Amino acid sequence: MLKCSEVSRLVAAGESEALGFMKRLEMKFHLFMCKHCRNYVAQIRSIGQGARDLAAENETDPAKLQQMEQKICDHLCKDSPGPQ
Amino acid sequence: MMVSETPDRFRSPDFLVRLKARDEAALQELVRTYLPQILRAARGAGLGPQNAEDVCQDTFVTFIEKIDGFQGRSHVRTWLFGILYRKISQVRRSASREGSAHDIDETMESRFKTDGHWQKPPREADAAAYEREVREHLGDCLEGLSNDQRVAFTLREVEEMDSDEICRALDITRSNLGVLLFRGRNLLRECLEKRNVRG
Repeated sequence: MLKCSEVSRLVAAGESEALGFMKRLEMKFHLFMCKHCRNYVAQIRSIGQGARDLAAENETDPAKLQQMEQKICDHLCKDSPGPQ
Repeated sequence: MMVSETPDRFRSPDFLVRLKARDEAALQELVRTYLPQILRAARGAGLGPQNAEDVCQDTFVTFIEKIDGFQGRSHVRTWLFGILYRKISQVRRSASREGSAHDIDETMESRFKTDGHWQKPPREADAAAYEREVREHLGDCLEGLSNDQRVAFTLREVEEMDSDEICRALDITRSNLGVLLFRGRNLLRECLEKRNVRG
């Protein structure tokens, strides 16, 4: 049987999705039985969601992005030898 | 994900030939498609707006400088993220905190009894309330991660890349990635708990 310490390690390391059939089943069963590990998994998921929300809040505005894009393109084309 | 919307235009040998010839339209297409992701990842990895902008520009410049050696074995996006990662590491080298790795391993060990059961179990939280509080403190808590932990966490959670692509971009093994994610996520969880984020 998987222990709580092993379950938390697999989940946080992102290895739980790469498990074989039997281990995956054991994991599911453990999570079904163990409220503490379910809480842990929920927190790890929420932290990921928090990171996505934070990134969305910090999203660069489209006008600025377009300006950057143009600057980089100008730079690349200027420095390149051009089509041969 | 972005990649699935533009399936494999970027993988086609024809596109690579155009890039190698510095075809303007191809360069523009590349920048337009990947700049938003590259920029978001640079910001997520902890660079300020100006630093992130410079690093993104450098990433594309290096990409084009090295394009002749690119064999097309991995996706251009993976290659771009690999260059980005090395640039970010250079910028943040002075600010890296590797000392946290050992501490978090010990902290996690102390979370469990010798039989592997939780010593001090995570509390049940209201998901919505927990997430709201997480958003408030996550920016500060991310500062406690090493550069590699933070990049791995950002590519996985924000860019939602799969393990294979992250490993190829960062040039690390699956088990290296596992350690980075394990430490990074637990450092964040512990930091949030210290700040009384409980949902």
